Amino acid sequence: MKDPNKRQMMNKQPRRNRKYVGQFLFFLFIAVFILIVGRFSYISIGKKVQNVNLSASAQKLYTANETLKAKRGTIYDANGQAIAEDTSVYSLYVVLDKRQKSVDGQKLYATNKEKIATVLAKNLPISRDKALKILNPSSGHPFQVEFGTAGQNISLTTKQKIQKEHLSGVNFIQQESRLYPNGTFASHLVGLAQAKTNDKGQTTLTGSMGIEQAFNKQLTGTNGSQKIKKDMYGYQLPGTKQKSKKAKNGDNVYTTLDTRLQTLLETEMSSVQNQVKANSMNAVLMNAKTGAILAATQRPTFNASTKQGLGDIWRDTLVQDAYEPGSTMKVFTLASSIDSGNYNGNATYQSGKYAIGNQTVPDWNTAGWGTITYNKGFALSSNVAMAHLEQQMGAKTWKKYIDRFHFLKSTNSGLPGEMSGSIAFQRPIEQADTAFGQGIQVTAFQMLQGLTAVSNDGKMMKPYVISKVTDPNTNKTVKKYSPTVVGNPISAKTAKTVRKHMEDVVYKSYGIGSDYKMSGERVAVKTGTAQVSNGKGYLSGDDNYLYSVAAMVPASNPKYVMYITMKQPHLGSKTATQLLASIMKPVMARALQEDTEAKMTKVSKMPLVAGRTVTAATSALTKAGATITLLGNGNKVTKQSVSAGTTLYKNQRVFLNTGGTVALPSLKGWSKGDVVKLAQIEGLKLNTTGDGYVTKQSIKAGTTVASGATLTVTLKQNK
Amino acid sequence: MERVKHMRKLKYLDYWLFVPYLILSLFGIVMVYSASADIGSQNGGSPGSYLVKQLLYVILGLAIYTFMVLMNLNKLRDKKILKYASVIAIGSLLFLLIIGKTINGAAGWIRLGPISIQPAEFVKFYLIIWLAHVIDRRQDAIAIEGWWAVMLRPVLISAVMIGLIFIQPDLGGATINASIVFVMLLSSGFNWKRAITYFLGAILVVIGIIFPLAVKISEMGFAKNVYQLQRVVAFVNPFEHSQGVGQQLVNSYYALSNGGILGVGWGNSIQKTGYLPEPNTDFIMAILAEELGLITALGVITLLFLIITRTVLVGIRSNSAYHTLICYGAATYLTVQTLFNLGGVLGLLPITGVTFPFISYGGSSTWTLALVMGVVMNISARQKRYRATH
Repeated sequence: MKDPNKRQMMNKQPRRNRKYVGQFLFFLFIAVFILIVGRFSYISIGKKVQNVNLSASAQKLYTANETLKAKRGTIYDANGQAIAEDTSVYSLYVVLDKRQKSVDGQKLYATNKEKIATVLAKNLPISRDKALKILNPSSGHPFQVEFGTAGQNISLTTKQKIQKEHLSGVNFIQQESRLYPNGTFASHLVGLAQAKTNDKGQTTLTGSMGIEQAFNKQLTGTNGSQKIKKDMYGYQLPGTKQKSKKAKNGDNVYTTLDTRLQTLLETEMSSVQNQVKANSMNAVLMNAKTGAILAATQRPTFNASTKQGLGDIWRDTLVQDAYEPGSTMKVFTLASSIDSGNYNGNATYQSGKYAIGNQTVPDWNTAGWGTITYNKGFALSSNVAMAHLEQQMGAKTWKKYIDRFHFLKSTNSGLPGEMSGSIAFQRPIEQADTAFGQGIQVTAFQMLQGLTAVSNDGKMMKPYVISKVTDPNTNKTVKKYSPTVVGNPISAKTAKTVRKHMEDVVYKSYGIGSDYKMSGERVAVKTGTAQVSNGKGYLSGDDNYLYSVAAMVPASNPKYVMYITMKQPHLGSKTATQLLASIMKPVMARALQEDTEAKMTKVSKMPLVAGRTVTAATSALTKAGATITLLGNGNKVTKQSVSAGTTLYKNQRVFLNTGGTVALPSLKGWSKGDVVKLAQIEGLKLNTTGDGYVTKQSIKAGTTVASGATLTVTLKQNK
Repeated sequence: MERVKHMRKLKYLDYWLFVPYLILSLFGIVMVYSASADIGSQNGGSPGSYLVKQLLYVILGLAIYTFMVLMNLNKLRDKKILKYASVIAIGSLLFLLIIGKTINGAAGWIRLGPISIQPAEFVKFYLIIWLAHVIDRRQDAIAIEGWWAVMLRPVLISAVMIGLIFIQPDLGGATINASIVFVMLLSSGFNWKRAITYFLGAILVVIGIIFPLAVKISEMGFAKNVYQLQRVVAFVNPFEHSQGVGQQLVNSYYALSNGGILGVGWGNSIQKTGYLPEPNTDFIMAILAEELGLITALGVITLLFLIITRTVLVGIRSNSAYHTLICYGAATYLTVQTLFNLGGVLGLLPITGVTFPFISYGGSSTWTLALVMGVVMNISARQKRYRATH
C-alpha cells in the first residue's frame, strides 16, 4: 500500500471499488470452497494420502494381538514328582483412569479405594495407609498404580482371595517363572529354563542347559493368540468380535531320576566336596539291566531355585567332559582279554615297571609286588599287568574291543554338547597306556554304557535319562524311550568272570578296594587313579589325580551300577577311596532298600475325595498309601491337591482343603517339594536352608498364617 | 410501537442466512454430543456433560442472535461503547499475557465462574464493527487527508490486538483476525485493481515465500523446540511422525478413511475413543465425516458456504459502506476460520487449533458467531425492507 491516498483522490467512487472487491471475494471464497470439497472427497473416497493406505493403517492401529501364553511342560522324576515346573505368580495393579469402562458400560476403574486398601492390607504385606496413599497419588493422573514388591509374586491363592472381593479396577498380570522345587538336584543334567525375549518382544522360558535345552522344542508349547479391535486404551470396541486361537501347552518330559536317591546322592556329594574341594566330581547311579539313570550329579553345581553357583560351570560334565579315566578302564582291558581268549589269570609277570621301547610303564607302587599272577595284578590295579594283557591280545584286537564298547563314539544321549572322546594309539607305548586308561579320553556316559556290558551279562545298554514325553493336551504319550541294547561286546560268561575279578578288588586280602564292602550284599568294584594331563604333559603332586570307582551291586546279578569320579581333590585325613566309598555305599544301600519296598507296594490311583467327609476321605487315601495333610477345620473336603485318577507314588503327600481357617501343620520330616507346594497353596514366602527333610520351621505348627507371610524351614538329610 | 417494528423486521428475515445458521447450530449440538461422549466420561463426568453445555451455549447464542437482529445497528456505533470495548479487548488480552498463563494453565482462556471466555474470539467481532465504523465515518477524510494519515491509528490498534493474540501463542486466532483486518482495509474504498493486486500479492507471498521458507526451516532440524515449526514438520510428513507431532493429522486422515462416503453411523466413531485428540473441537469435522460420511460433511460445508456467499452478496448490494464492510469482514471471518480448521483436518495447512464454525464445541466461538451473524442478518433485513419500500 505505497500511496493509496493519491489513488483515493483520483478515484471518486469508493463504493464502486468496494463492489468489485466484493465480487473478487465472492469468487475467491468459492475457489476456497472448491479446494476444500476436492481435498475432502479425495481423502474420503480415495483413502490414500502420500501413498499410505489409510484404511489398512487404521485397521492395524485398532487391532490388538494378544498372546495367550502356552505353559512350558513339566519335567518329572520316575515317580511323577515334578522336578521342574511352571508356576504362575501374579503382580497386581489398580486402574484409576475413569475412562475405563467395558463394552457394556461396566466401570473398570477403582470405584472404592477405601475397600481396595483394606483388602490389600489383609492379603498382601502392605499397610492400609500405605495402600491408600498409593491409590490417591498426589500429582498427575496416572492411568494405573502398582504396589512395589508387595504387589508382586502373588500366589494363585492370594490372587483368588483378592478376586473374591470383586473390586473394580483391581487387575493382575500373570508372570511366568520356572520352579525347581528341589534346589540342587541333578542341576546340570535337568538344566535350566530362563525367560528370554525374542525379536518379536515376546518373553518365553527357554532351556539353556541339560534336558531343558535338549527337549526345549517339546517342552515349549505353542502360544495362542487373541485378536481384538480395541480403542486407544486397549479395551475392546463395542460391536466387534474377537478372534482367538487357543494356546497349546508344552509336552511333559518324564525322566528316570528317582527323587529320593537323587536327593541322597546330592547330600553325599556335597559332603565330600566340602571336604576336598575337588576341581570336578561326577556321580551316576544307573539301573544295571536297563541303563536308566536313577541319580546323577556333578560338582561344582548350582541351586536351580536360588541360582546360587550358576556362574561356576555351565557344562553338564557327564557328557560334555572327556577325560582320561585311569584304572577303571582296566575292567574293559580285562574283559577284552578274557573275551578274546587271551587271558590266563594264573600266569605270572614281573610287577613294578615294564619297559616298552625307551619308555616305562610304571605301577602305582613303582617298587612292585614282585612276580605275581595276573589275577592278583588286576586286584592290585597293576598297570604293568594291563600293558602285558594288551600286548598279548595285540593292539588290533584291543582296538576292536575299544570300538565294541563304543568308546570314541557319542552315546547319542540327546543331551546338549555330548563329546565323543579321543585316543592316541600310534606307538606301542601309547597302545599299552590305553589299557590302563591313559591316553584315551572318555565321557562318563561312555564309561557307564561300557559298564552295562559287564553288569548285564554282555548286553550293552544305552544309558538314558528320559523315559517318555507326553502331551498334556491329549494325555497321550508322544514318545517312549525304552531300554536299548546297543551292542554285545563280550559274552555273558566273560561278563560274569570280570565281575568275579572285580569282587576280588574288594574281598581279597590284597585287593585295594576293601573300603567299598557293604553289609548284606557283595560288591564288584574297580577303582581308578589317573594322572591328570594339562594337555602338554602329566601334572605331578598328590592332588593332581582323577580318582574314580565303578561299582556293581549285587556282584552276582547286579541291579545297580554306580560310577563316581573325583578330579584333583585336596585330600586331607581321608583317602580318596574312603571318600568315594562314603558316597557310593549309602546311595547303593538306599537303592537296594527301595527295590525291596517297591516289590511290596502296589501302584495306586488317587481317588475322588472332594465332597466327601474328612473321615471317609482319610480312610480312602490311607488305603491308597498316601500321606494326608488337612488344611482348614471343616469336616468336608472341598478341594484335593492331586486330581482324581492320577497315579500316586508311595507316601505321596496329598493336601485336602476343608475350608475354614487354615492353621500351619507341623512340617517335621516333610520333603522340600511338599513344603514348596504348601507354601504355594497358602501363598507363603518360603526360605529354606539345607537339603533333605524339614527339621525346623520358623512359624509354629497350629498358627493361623496370613498369605504373604514368610516361612523359614531348615532341612537336613536324615540317614 | 417497538413491538410492531420488530414484527415488521421479522417479515424481512433472510432465510438464506437464517435457515443454514439454525440447521448448523442444532446439528452442532448433535455432533458435539457424539464426539464428546467418550472424553466426557473422562475423569468421571457423564457422556452428556459437553452436550448439556453446548445446548446452553447455543440457546444463549440464539438469544444473542435475536437481539442483534432486532437492535438498532447505530447503537453499535456509539463512540463510548466502542471505546470501552477496545479497552476491555486489549485489557483482557494483556491480562492473559501477564497473569493468564500461570492461573489458567492453558493460554487464551479467562475463567469466569462456570464458563471460560476466549477473548481472541470476541476480538473478531469487535474488529469487524469497529473498522467498518471507522472507515465509513472517515470515508471523506481519507479522500482529503490521505489514507495513511487517517488509517494509521486504527491499523496500529488492530496490530496491537493481533500481536497480543499471536504471542499467547494463538497463531490461528491471530491469522484470522489479521485476515479480517486485511480484507476490510482493502475494501476501504481505494482503487479496486490495486486492492486485488495487493490481495493476490499477499496470497502469493504466503504460498510462494513464507510457506516454503517455514518448511525449509522446519526440515533443518532446529525446529525441535519451536512449537509452530513442529506443526509444519507434522504437516509436511505426518506419517513419519505418526507417534508424535503427526499424530493428529494421521488420525484425522484415518477418521475420514473410516467414514468414506456414507460413514460408519452416528456414535460409532472409533477415532473419537482416544486416537484423535480434540474430537469435539478442532477435529469435529473429522469425526463427523467418520460417523456420517463425506456426504454429510459436504452438506455441512455447503450450508456454511451458502451463508458466506450470501453474506458477501448482501455486502455487495448494500449502499452503506458500514454495512458492506461488516459483511465482508464477517464473510472473511467465516471463510478463513473454515479454511484453517478444515486445512488442518485435511492436511492442506498446518494444524493451528482453530474450531469449525457452528459445529465445534465452545461458548466463545458460538457467541461470537451469533453476534456476527445477527448483525449480518440485521443488515440483510434492512436491505430487504428498503427494497420493498422503495
